[in-house]
Amino acid sequence: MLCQFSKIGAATRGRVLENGVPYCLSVGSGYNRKAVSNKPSLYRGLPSDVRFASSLPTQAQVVICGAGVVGNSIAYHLTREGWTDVVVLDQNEIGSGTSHSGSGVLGLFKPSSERQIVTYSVNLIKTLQEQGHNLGFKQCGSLNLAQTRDRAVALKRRLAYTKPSGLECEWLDRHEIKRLHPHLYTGDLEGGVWVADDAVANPSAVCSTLAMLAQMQGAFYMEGCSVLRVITDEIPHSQIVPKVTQIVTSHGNIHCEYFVNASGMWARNLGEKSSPKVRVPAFPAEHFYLHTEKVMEALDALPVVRDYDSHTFCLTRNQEFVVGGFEKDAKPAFGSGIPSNWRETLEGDDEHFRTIREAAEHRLPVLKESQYKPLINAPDNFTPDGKWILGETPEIDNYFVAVGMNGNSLQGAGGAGQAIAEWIMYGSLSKEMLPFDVRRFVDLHNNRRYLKERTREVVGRHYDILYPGQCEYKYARKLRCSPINSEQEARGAVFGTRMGFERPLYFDITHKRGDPPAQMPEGTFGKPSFIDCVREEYHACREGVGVIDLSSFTKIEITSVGFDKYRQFDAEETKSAADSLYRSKSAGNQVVEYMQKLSCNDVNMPVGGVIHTGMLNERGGYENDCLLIRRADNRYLMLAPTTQQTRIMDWMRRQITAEACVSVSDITSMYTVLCVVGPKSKEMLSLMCNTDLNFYGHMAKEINIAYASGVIVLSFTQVGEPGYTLLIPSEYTLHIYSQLMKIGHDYGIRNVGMMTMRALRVEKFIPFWAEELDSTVTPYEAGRGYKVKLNKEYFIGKFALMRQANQGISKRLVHFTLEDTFDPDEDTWPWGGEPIYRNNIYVGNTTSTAFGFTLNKMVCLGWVKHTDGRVMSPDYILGNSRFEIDIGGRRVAAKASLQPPKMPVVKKDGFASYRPKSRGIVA
Amino acid sequence: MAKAFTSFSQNVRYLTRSLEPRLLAADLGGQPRSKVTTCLFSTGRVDRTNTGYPRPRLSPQEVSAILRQNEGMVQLNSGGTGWTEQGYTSSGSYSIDSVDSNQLASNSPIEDKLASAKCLHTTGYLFGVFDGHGGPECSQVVAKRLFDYVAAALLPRKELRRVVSEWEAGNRIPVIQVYNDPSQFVTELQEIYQDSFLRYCISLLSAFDEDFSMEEVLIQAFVQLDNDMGREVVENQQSAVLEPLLRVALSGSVACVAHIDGPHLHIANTGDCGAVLGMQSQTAGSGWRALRLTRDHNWENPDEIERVLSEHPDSESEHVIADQRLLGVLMPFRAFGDFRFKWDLVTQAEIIQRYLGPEHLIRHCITPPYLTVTPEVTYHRLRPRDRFLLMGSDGLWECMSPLDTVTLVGEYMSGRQTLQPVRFPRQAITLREVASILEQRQKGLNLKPVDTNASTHLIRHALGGSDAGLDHARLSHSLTLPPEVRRFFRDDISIHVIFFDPNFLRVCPVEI
Repeated sequence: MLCQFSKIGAATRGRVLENGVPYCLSVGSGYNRKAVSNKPSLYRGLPSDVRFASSLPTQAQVVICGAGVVGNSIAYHLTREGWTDVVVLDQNEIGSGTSHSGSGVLGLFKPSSERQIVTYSVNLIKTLQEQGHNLGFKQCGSLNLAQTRDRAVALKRRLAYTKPSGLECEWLDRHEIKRLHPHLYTGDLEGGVWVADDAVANPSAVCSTLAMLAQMQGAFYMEGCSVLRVITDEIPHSQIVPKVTQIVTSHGNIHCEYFVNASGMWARNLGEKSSPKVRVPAFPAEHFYLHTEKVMEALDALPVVRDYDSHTFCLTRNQEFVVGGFEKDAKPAFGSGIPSNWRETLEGDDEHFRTIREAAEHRLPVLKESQYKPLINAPDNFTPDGKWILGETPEIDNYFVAVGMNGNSLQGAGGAGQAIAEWIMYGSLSKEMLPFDVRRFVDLHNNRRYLKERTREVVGRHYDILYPGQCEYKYARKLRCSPINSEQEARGAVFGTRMGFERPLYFDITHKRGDPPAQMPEGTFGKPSFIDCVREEYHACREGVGVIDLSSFTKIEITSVGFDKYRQFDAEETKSAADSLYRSKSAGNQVVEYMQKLSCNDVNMPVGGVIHTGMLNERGGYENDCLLIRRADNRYLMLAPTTQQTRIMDWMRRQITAEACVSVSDITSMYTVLCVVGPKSKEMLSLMCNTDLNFYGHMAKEINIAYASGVIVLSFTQVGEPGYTLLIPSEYTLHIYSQLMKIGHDYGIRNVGMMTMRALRVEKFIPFWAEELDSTVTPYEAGRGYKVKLNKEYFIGKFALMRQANQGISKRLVHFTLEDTFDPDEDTWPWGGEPIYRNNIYVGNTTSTAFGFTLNKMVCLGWVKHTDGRVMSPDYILGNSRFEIDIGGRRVAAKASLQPPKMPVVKKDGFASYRPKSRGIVA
Repeated sequence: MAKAFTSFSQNVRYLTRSLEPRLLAADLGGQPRSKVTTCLFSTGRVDRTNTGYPRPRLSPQEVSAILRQNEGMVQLNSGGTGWTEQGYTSSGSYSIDSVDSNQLASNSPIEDKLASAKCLHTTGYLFGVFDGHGGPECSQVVAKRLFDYVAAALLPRKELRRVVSEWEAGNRIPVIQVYNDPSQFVTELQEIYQDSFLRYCISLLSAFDEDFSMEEVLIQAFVQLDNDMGREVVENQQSAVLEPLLRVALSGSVACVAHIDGPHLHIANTGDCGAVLGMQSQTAGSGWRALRLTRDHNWENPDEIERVLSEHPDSESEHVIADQRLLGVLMPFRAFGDFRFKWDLVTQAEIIQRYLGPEHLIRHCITPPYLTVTPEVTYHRLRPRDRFLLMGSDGLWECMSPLDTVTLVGEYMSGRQTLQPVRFPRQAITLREVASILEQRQKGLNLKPVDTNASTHLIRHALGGSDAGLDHARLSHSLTLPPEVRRFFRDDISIHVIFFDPNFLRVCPVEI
């Protein structure tokens, strides 16, 4: 039997169903269907009572830790698809964790990536209820209130991009709100959004029902059983990612193929019980609910009320009003670990909850007359960015995580469970889950102190107005800094953080040296007040010279290691000769082979060459968008986006086979990246070094600058302007920076921040990772087909791209400029995510936007899909079609283009181009 | 050094009718025949100082009076720097801060001519140094006419058409605004010259306007003016002004012209005047570097020798360049005028032989033209470290190296800055910054020059500089040389010093 199991264990992960069992997304049809497994199950045919034996099985295909609503949902979806060899463990009993309590609200009025998950959850619970389970589900709708004008804009923007999804929602004035919820005080409201499909359900009922159904479908549940260790297999070398093999529990060991950490508050701890440790950055915060006694007014049909500006929500259940909130300064829970009797240690903090209670009483005056039950303290897990953590961990193969439900485990559980089940069964996802990817973190995120500090503000952010690009975190800052951070601060930098890295967003021109650090002004949806700073920086880059700190970029070194697998050494050859041969040219083959497999561009360039390439998945979608520098025959240096630090390392390591002899290492901290941008950059930089800075094409040179040595200079910038990117050994950075600023003074040099970088690249139609590019879009769709070399040897995604090259594409990245009806001084700006309409039909959403200072127009990049999903020709976009972009409910005409705009080229060579300007005839 | 043939007429007839008697005097000989000068020389008593020069005949005040006689100054930036509270602003400021000019005669009358003007209908300014030979006529005429030709060629077609139609309607609107030159041509010449200019403008109108190139415009203006000067003689043989026309055509002039607009500096050079850029060294405050922007067109330039020889049959090579001169006569290898080197043999016979006699023909002149006016054009984009442009006739460069001149002017600048009342760049200034400005000022006061005009400063040092600093005795001696021998000691010296505004150059954008 063991022998049979190991065969399964060896089966390739993520193989697609082969025997044609249709994978069915629809819930209703899946439920009673007798699942047919494509894989031999150990327990097929055994009587069902064997499955429910009290002793733990010694092996299982999937082990899920945590029988909360998320774990149960995963088990339910796996077993429904025939993967019945599932064991669910819980240290206590089913639903005994944080799934037990909770508001039970299912809110659909969310950004699209969240919405698709919640929509699935709603449909799932609805179907189950229709099938006779009592889940307390009712679609009572919700009222989302705006007290301020900015909140109204925020809600209307969301309304605009939610509407095309078909969700029933509309803007109501205060009278219409009063009609839907007669007990509300509406005198101070700007209005609100009515979402008809929002629902409430009983969280513990859903949790136990899913557990019951999963068991009926074949899952094995074991209560009172805690996981002690997660064991992984032996790996030949450190470049290979180990795989889950065995789970050590308090009730014995289970051999398994997949492990899912769905243990909620305990997930971070569980992550440490494996080797290597798994990062699960989530931290519990106290979360309060106040129930009234039964009152006449609390009719079940009343909608859920979200009073964002008071950080309060209120719903009715069982003739009671339930009040909760996402308070501004939350209380992290269990700072020193979760005690086993955690329930008893938590008490309702009436004083802490007072503001929320008072806000609720203000909104619902009827509460003032009600009797309250004691305040319930039901902690839940929050993540550093307030988004769920889902997916396979980068540290261990087949180790999945589904935690961090941020105060409402119910609404995410259905969809997240389905997604994780799909991920386990097929090895990949059909939809984009980038925002929730567990690989978006680095080690600092898992630091307990960091998490505790950050959790204080993450809770309240759920109800804050998140002004686009202007809502940086307050706590746990100044963590990862470039060497010139304090110098930048002294020069008026306003920082934002990405992957914990402090990056200057812009430099405040009113700031003087010695002033307190510059601060981001109050957020706005219109023209931000710092636009003047951005304009100055922009013009420096276009016409003079600017310096951008890109130190946060991920730097990865890829080298050949070990012996060249193709080389045979004669017996006579001594070891030292073999060593020297190893260091010789022929040792370079395997890294080139490896990089060629990963990159869609031809990266076998000469040493010193620089190339921009995409790295794709089998579907041709982007996994990475990076710059490669060939440092030696057997060594590459990769410059990848900041957010890719964990994700791309993981992805690249997974492409290394045991015999590949390639090593991938993260050297992000070794180099600082300064980008010297602008037409005057060559002249200025040539004063600092003795090297000819006229590079041929994309070449890198390692040169001395100022008094420093070993600086890698590329004649390439990320923003499409002439200039140089300097990769500086970190210890030299301060020196080179101060020299740049000193010499640059005569050239009007300016510090330039990320806002300007965005303005430059959006205007010039340069797509960026995670904004335009993700795993669902191909280079052809993004208009970067010229970076694909189909005539080179095999690379991942080649066949998908060949197919697309033949058949055409059905979506395309488009450059829009807003017509003059848009007044950038007065109107609400587009900030990304706005729906795009073509001849009045919704065709896609914008991604990044910026004001184009050269075009003097607002510029949006966005994806346009063919309305029927068919292949589109350029004519579909450029032909006789009228494009509009819906900005917070107002449609603005936009001009579409598939090419970068013709920007005037800045010429340094006045001899060829100079002509005096006419003054007109001066009499 | 004697520069050209001197066989031509010794009688000077004034081509210009001055509005100001002083300028007329300047044109005459560069310095007033003061009683002091002459009587001192008549004494014949030689009393030497320890530097080996005769005891000075002139007091320092008299020296200064002579040196400053021809000073000219153009202030373009309206004083003050472009500081505002936000920092630098380019509004109201320009790349050129001011221009100091001066000249000192050696020949009598002086054969050099300086010119500066603003292009009225296009952006930019023109500066020129013209060094005549064989008489002052050619340099005077070229200096007064060339900028019109350049400015017209710079005009966009539309504006040019407007100018032409105004001229044709009798309204002769100017295309340039001239600085520091109130003289005018006598009426008869003026009419001939204006007629040529109008014809030139009309020819420009019919030319292709696209593909504008500064280099071509400058070359075209030089060539066309030169052609016109030759043609005017041929066409006006019956005119009363034939004699002056002929004098202009047969004397010659080299020219160095700069067009400056914002950070764009174009230099068209024909002959052996020179332009040098003064750059502050990278380590701010100390040290200067000189960048030569022109090449001399004479026998010292191997490329020129090769060019000239290549244009004539090998049989002539012995005579084409002899005694370091063109046909053994002319020092510069490129120049305006000098039509005895340019006209074909038929025209030469017709004009020179008829009006002057065969003895005025140049020997060995077999395959003319031997001389061209085509300038070499260079472009330089001004950088913040480029602090001034020096343009000088060869009289200056014979006395001093480019680096010496640049250093002199550079040091002069720091002194000049401190001559003005102290002015702080912005309101919120720290004590440390005040201290450093005052320190700078203190340093400058030590260098405080006698002259407020940089060109005068240069001439003073060119004449009186020695290893031990300025030597008054030497200066006085040089200025009191009798006219007969003066020319052997020094040539006419003419200098433009064009100061740039580093604040403007720091922030001025690259044109797009």
